[in-house]
Amino acid sequence: MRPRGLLGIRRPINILIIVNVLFFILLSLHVQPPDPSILIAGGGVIVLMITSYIIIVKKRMGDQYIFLIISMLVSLGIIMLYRLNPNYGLAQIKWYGLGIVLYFISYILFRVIKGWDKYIYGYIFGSMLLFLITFTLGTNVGGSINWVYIGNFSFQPAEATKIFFVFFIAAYYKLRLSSEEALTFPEREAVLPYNNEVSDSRLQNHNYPDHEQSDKSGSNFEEAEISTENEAVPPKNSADNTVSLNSNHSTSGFYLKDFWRELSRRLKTPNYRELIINKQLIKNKYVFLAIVYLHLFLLLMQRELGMTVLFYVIFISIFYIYEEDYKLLLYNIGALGIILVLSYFMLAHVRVRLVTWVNPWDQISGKGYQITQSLFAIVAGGFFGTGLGLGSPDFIPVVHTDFIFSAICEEMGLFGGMAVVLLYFILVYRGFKIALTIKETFKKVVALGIILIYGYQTFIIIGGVIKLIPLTGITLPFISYGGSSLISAFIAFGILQAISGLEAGG
Amino acid sequence: MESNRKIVHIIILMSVLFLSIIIYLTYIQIFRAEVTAQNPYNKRQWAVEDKTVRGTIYDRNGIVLAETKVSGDGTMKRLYNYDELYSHTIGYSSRQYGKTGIEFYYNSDLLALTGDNTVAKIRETVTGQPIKGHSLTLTLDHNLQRKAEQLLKGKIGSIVAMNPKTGEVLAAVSKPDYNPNSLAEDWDRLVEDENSPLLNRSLTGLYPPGSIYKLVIAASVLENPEIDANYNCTGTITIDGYTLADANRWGHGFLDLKRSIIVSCNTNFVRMGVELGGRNVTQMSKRFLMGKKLGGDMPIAESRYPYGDNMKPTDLAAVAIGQGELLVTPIHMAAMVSTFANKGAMAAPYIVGKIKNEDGMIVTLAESESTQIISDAIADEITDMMVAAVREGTGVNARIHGVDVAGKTGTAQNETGKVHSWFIGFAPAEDPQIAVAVILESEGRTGGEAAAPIAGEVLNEGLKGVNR
Repeated sequence: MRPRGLLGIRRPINILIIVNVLFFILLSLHVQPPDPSILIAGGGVIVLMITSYIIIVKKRMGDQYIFLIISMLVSLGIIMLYRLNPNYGLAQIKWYGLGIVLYFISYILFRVIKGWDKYIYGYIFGSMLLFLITFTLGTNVGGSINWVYIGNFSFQPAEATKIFFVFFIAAYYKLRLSSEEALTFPEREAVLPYNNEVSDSRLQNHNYPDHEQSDKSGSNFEEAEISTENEAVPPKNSADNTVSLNSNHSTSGFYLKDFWRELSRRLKTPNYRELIINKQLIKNKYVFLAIVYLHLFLLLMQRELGMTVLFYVIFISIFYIYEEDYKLLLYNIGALGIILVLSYFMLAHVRVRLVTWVNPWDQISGKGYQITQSLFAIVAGGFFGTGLGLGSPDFIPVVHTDFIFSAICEEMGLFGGMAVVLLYFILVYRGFKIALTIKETFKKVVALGIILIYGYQTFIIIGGVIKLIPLTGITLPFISYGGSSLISAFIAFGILQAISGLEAGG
Repeated sequence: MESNRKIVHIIILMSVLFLSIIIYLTYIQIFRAEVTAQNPYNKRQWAVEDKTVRGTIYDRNGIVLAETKVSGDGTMKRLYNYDELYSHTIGYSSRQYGKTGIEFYYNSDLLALTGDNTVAKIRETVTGQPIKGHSLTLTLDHNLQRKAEQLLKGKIGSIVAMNPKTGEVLAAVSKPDYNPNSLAEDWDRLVEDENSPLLNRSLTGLYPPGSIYKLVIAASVLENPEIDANYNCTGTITIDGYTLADANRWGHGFLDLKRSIIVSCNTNFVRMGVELGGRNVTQMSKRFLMGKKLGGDMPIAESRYPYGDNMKPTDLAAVAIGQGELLVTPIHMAAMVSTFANKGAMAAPYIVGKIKNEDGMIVTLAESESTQIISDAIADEITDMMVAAVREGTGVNARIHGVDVAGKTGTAQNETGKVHSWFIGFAPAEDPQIAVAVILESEGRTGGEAAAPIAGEVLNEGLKGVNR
């Protein structure tokens, strides 16, 4: 029925093989004297690709296109890196091999281990540990503290934080939405301490007066209401509050000092254990927001502008999908505005990014150098490109990581660049398709989160190097040189593959 | 499911983001590519340049003005054979300081990037010989250029001479200038010099035109017979409470339009300008391309004409005598005076006559473009007045023995306090061969005293060139 091609598998793999064969032959001809090792490397890439693909198809591991698309992107990257510097190309092939292994491992782990949604504290801890490592061991590279060197081995912890962050958000929504479902079982209300929290989130919508009162305290989430009511709290607690607290309507807001007073009181009672263990506290949306913004703050402190923006857009997208409180959504978008304005005035490197985006030509030999060199490369390519190895992409600083897209545009032209963008688009489309079919909240948010990471990351860096948006240093997924980003991407997509397989399996 | 509906929103957002990348990339490639690629900081240009022998530049008679010498070891050096003489017109091509002048705006021709050079490229690849750039033959006349440069020596200003019928620029000098052969040694001094020797005044210097602008007003008066040109000049005129004094404080007495041009009477032109009204004055100025692109092959600064159809009487009074916020370039004035010499049609000035490839085949042959601005009859009438102005009026110093010169002087007030000295004119009046615009910046003397004699000598030398 279906078109059959090589080895009885569906055809798209053939396109990959053809592209790789052609490009590697071109590469080997470009180098003088001709270098047969390039052909061996190319052969290795093709074999890796085919073997993995056969495994995915034969073992019915779910979506069959994800792996093909990312392999296409990786091989384009390898070819470009090989052309820029054979050492980068070879190293990238090794990372590709390791990435594939981790792809399958993360696939298996995600399927074998049950209850990934239960480790919300683990994800937060993981992120914070990585931040701690970065701040203590991190090296300052190009103004940002983002590389950790251990011996000869170096990695970028933020790459792993991305996955922790998505798991954290997913676990949070799983927790909240499932407890909302739990409301339908009245007998649990009496037993579990978080039932009031449940009614809280339910009643919020009918309870605007209270909200507005608490909103006066400022839109800053830290000062905003924090509703962690519990039946165990004595009513006198709220006696000095402007907002009344009553057990039926447990939606009232606290101010920060009240929150701390409340928290310390609770920690003295036996209830604190339940508060933590039953995830009562973490389930509160303001606590959740506090943790999200802590991530953003720490990233900003590392001067990881690109990552900060990326984390924010991932968070706000998922928040948009799951949060019914539109007001809160608007406050969060407002918070972004405030953060942007503040960072513009307080952080010089943010200002530089914006100024060089508006007009890089004024500072062409200084701060605008990178972006203008990138634009020179893009226009040098024209529609069809100069041809592989015939351009001068090496004029661009850090061309092998952040600016690799400009190199592709120079040597493969506007159409080559468009092809890359469209490949990402198909990848994102496949991801969304998986996310749409999943019903279970945790897996749905994880799938969404992964696809949002890579979709937005692609937009942020490509948009940056073509001067559509301000340039923020971040890698182009799968194509840029670098082990950390490639491996974390393979792990992430291994998980997505697992989720797609779960769906296919039932 | 509610969440799925919102996921679709995010999918739409993502699609828009990706689409915007594709659209923006295409936009860059179609609309921004040329400007961006020619940026002097783009090192890719040098990659091409290293493989190309930059084309030679000749004057109209085949005299070599600039050429690239290739030494034994393959290194190339750009030589400017007449040092300062062509500093502004030809400019320079320097790795350090970028490019200006013809070296800049004809760069792609000089590097043979234009036209079909596939054969040359293949030959270059096979033999390893460098590509030869296209050569340019300018419209400049070396002798006239040299004469103009000598006349302007030690002064600040510009001379532009052109063929009024075709728009060919015969000489273009801007002072002070610089030596493109010793740019590296002189650079700091050149940049700091307050007289801006790097500025090409001929194309980009903006000056108030002063009385030479009366020719434009006169053309409008002739088109509007209801305006009575006859006037009794008493030496002053009051417009909207402001009193304007004439250069001749005793007054010129009874005048008609011709007499007003001959003596360059401010009061009568102020009166006529106010009577013509904003609409007529602005329309005529716009027809003479004030505030518009002049055309031709050079990057000429647009003259400034910041007025519309509704002008205050004081603005009209100022523009009528070439003052106010009106600012013009010397080359624009040369083109303007050429209009009267060319039966009312303005020819767009151009400087490169032909472009040939290394085999001597013509790649591009310039064609003159002209636009009818005023009628043949009005142009003749104004020419007649200009001849009288040189024969017996303010322009007597521009007279050439045995030839009728048509001309108009200008003395322009400006913020430096020292007047600019202008003269525009052409010769011979009955069959114009050469038109000229001379400006001496902050000269402090009238156009008739300072600019007219220089213009006369340029015209004389130009006519010798035509007859040679």
